[in-house]
Amino acid sequence: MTASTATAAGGYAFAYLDDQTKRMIRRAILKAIAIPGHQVPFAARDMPMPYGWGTGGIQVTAAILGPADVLKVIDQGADDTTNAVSIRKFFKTTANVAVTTRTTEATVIQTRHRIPETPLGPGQILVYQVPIPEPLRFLEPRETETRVMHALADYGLMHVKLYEDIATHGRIAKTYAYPVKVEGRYVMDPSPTPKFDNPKMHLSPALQLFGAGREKRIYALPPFTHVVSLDFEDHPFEPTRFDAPCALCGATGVYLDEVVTDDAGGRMFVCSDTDHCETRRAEGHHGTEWAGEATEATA
Amino acid sequence: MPAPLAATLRPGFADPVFDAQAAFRAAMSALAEPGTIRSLAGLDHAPAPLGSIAAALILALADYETPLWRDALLATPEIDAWLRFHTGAPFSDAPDAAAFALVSGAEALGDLDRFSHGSDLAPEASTTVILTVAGFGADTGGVAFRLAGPGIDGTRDVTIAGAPVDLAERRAADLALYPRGLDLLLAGPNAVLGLPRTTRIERI
Repeated sequence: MTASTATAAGGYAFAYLDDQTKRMIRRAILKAIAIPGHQVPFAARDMPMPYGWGTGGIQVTAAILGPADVLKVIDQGADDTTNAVSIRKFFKTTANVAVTTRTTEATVIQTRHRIPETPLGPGQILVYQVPIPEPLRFLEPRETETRVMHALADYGLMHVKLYEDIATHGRIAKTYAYPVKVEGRYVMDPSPTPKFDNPKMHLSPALQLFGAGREKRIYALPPFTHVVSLDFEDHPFEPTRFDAPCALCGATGVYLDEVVTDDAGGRMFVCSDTDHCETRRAEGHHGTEWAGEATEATA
Repeated sequence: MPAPLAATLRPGFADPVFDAQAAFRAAMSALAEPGTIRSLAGLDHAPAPLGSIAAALILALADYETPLWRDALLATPEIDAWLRFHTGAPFSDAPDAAAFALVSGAEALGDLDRFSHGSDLAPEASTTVILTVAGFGADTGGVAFRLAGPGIDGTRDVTIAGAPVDLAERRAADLALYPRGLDLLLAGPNAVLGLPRTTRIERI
């Protein structure tokens, strides 16, 4: 080999991580795939960014990425927010991979807190950034205990929590990081995605990988895995619904963000998935607030 | 006087970074979608009788953290030297202490119980068995299996030549242990096929 084939800008190893670290993460990924929903410990490394910026997802992406991959990075659905731009730039610099904002063109999509609206296809890989991988953490703070609870499939506490929600609020109040059961065995935290996205995980043709850097856990959902949101017969799971369509592209059945437009209480609701919204507008779909595409300012 | 190491040691990956990444991605896709045949570039110059695909997989995945077990046929001085040099992995004589097991063929597989199935607390601490088989596909004259489970949309049929004829029965016994279990990577002449512990196998 020549050094130039394995390094990108600045003499970094391809995709930043050294080979031994990649092998360690790769082994954890293989076991995570073999045991869907089970959190596999791994020796997460310090990354050149703070915890909370997606160090787990970045390490997973770095371990799987190859020169032929096309990478998309989203943060709350958007390609143009700080976290997404920074991570995309990080891999462009250290791995020199092709990047895109188009969901359909990407082979690897790293995400913070959303699943793209465009259905994912076979061969695509969705990498989630996970802050707290343990769904039982706020019910049982001791890691030693939560591991035993997973080993015994003892999830009664979680059902008590959901029941208490119903007793207090009349419904299950959890709107994000809504717990799911994987293949009838492991209760899993889907990361802080809105519960709106939970149904997209079920039998998805794409491979879903979850990386938690600070908590040093990797877990996975192979394609076509049964992922069921926890609920009760008389209080079935209900995804979030929105009353109005996207103000820019007119889409219904998508997850909307509230955008404040002035200091007099003005607001509009627009797609959180920027690629989906832009694609629809390019196809000629327009919402109530659409006023034409912004053009580049000319000097 | 034995020949100096450099004269007998065969090379590993031509490009350690990208060749290892490609081999890993083949293994990952194989385990994520059990029964799919994932072709990859093997290491044709690996010391015989270690197969070229098994050689590529073990170089991509093993290092000083992963004890290796290999069957008697594969425990030659030349293969040992090659594995030790390229992976740095310690050898284990106890199959249940191994992170990876290299098995030369169905007849050398033996009782699956002798490998580590992990524990209920740490099911990931189980052996990954890299089993060399003769080939995949109907034209190989192998045994046909119907697979189901995570990674498979409904069922997937696959023909494997050189797999244990009682593979379905042996894996069925393992399924009852879930989440404990063994994960198999079947190494054919130029491709890998994954059978993780979750896959239900039926002979057809």
